[in-house]
Amino acid sequence: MLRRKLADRLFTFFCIASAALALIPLLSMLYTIVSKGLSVISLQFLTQLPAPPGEGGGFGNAIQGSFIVVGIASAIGIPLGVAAGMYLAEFPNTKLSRAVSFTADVLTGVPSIITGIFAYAIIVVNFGGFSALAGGVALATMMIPFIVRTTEEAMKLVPWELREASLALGAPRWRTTLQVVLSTARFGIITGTLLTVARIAGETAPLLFTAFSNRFWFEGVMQPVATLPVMIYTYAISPFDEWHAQAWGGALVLVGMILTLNILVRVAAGRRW
Amino acid sequence: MESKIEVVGLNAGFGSTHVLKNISLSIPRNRVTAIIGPSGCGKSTFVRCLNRIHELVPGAWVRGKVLLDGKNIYDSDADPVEVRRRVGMVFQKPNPFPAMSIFDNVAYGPRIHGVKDVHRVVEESLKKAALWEEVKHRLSHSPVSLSGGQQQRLCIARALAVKPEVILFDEPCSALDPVATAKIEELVLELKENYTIVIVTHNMQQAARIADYTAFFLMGELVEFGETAEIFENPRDKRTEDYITGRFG
Amino acid sequence: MRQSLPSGKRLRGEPASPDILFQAALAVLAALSVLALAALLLLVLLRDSLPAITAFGFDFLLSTEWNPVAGEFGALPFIYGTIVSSLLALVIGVPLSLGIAVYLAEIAPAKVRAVLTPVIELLAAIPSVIIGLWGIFVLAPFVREHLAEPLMEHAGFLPIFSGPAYGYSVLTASLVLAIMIIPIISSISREAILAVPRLQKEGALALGATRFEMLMSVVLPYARGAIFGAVMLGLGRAIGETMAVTMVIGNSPKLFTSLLHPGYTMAAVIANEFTEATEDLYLAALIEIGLILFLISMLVNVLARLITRRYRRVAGGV
Repeated sequence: MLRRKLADRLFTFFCIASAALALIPLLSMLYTIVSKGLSVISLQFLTQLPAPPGEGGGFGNAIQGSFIVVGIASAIGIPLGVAAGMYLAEFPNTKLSRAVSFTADVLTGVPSIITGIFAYAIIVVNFGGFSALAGGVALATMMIPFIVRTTEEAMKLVPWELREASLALGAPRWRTTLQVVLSTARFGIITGTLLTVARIAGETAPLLFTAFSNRFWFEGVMQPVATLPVMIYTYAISPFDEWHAQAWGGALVLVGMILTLNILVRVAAGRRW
Repeated sequence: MESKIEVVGLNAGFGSTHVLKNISLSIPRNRVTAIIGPSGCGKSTFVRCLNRIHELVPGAWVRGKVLLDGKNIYDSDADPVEVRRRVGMVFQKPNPFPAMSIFDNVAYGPRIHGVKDVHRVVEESLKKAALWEEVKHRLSHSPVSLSGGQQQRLCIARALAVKPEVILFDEPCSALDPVATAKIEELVLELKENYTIVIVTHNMQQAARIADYTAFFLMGELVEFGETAEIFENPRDKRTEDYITGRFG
Repeated sequence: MRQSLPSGKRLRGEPASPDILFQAALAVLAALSVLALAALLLLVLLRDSLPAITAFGFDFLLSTEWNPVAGEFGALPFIYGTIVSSLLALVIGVPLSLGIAVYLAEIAPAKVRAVLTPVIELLAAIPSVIIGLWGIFVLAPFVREHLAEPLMEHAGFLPIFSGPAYGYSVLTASLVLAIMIIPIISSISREAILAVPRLQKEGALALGATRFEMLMSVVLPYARGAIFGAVMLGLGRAIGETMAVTMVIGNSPKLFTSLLHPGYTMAAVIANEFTEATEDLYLAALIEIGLILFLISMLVNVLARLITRRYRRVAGGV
């Protein structure tokens, strides 16, 4: 009996220790980002172009570029993903549906760097070099399977009875789907979509050789563009202390935006935080 | 009595399950016809065949004829959407569209069918459903805040707004308390002035209170059909008698 | 059964209506955005790695020489580095994840649970480049001083802990990966544990089992499938992870034996060298590494999905 109790105690201790241990890196990350980041962030940092080491400068163009690239990705990925998810939710018993559903599941696991190679091969090579569009395509490729899933799940939660109610009023199926099912599920779809946007906004690997980088402000969809994640990476691996400090500033901006979006969405979705 | 719907040799089911067996029946115009029977007897499936909602369930099938004003709704040139507009339906559980306002719930049908004066139709329908006074100051609110009985009357208003000729009620009171039930019954009696009504119920008192005609279904067959008083006081079939005197079901 | 709208063609005698067009349009979009995308991904990777495949054949997978200047391209160091660092991440991360899952599902007081559950999931929301940044400036120095050097001193006789001890090493990369897969594995496992019917747990406890015994005898058999699926998903994530690993693994294409030495992974070499690869064969070799990475991670993911799907069916049927 004593040995059984001891095993139980040890196990309980192990579980508590695991939870505590997992918190250490998280707290260390948040602490370092905030403490190192705050000393760098200023109006100048947020609004100026990058400058050579020793001359200050800021991440303004990277912040702008991130919004643009994520915007392009959303414009491509959200409509396609929502349409595919709608198909899965409303016509789940077709062969196509089963194939799409399984493939979407598997695509959520594609390494992010692969979507970069993909966008490089179809956009960069064929349309005159690195561009914001290529970055957007790479991120859209990452987004689509997540949007498909989130749309499908939200629409499947809509009770069948609502569809019947609409059909019984003489509504055709397409109207039933678009006006009744979609509007009933819209909250879930928006929530899931925003979380996906927050997830891809921090992606770096797909942008390295698609959007590439740029020392200037946005110059057009077909031109290379700076983004926060790539800029943070470049500055982090540079040999200059001043740039390291700026990388932390960029990290605070990026993490701040992503976590704020995450928390807002979850609070709005009524989850307890 | 002039009939509005003539059902001829109707068979229906799901996959290999045969639910309705050779039903023939005529439903009189501007009267209330009740469909009674123990659960699983096919009474819901029967009314769902009258507006072509049954066939939307995967694996469902229908054979036979349903003549609406003499025209078979299952003819290859019949438009199911038009059939459903002419034959409205109120479901077992109140099912207003939660993402739309009270107003939009009622306006949904008229807008689909391209009605111009939507506001007037909505007001009229809510009045006919005896809900106008209770909701006229909160038309833009969500229907989720309404009570179950109010929600069901909203669903009735929603069905009325597309100007149907027939309204099918599939156990409309099974989720409601007695007060709300009485209101719905009262409403059904008012509506029969202008509409042909078919109501499925498991509650025999309800059938006796509101129906002019009653059909008794058992295991997918129509056992007996006639004036309600006849069915209840003087059933011809032994099985009907057993059922209404409470020996089974 | 009544979960779906039927496909349009089943309706008897319905004329070609907007509904059929609607379904067809959605079907085309679904096929394009998912199936065609997946097919195109694979085709592009195959097409663009073809020069390398024809030039090196099967040797590409077995050769350890990576010398772009000399035109030598062997993928083994990267495949090896990816597998070792990912497996080591599982060795570190899985026990911790399961401990967390049990703690959050069974042990923690309600208030702690309500706070801790989302906080640990917050880890998953932090971009990998930022975990890499933290890895460079916080974790790598810490590992060198407080982990690698003591390990080398006390266990250096083992080849895997032989010196010299670096900060940018396979060990650091695996720690970073472990941190990144903990949220996934622990949250799926926690849900699986919570899905075990209360009655079964109470039944075991009522027989006098301790919590540990109850978990081993009742919960583990029940949740095994889901947990295994979660571990596979974590493995898939670790194999494909790019930035955080690139930033701390040291990027040295050798077949390391010591975990305290630098290594390289498939994703990392693509990230580092893709824009430098000006020669066609060099680029093709990198894309072939991408193809291998894609195939391995798809294999792991398909297995993970098949396992979780089967588990869901079984659990749903109980």
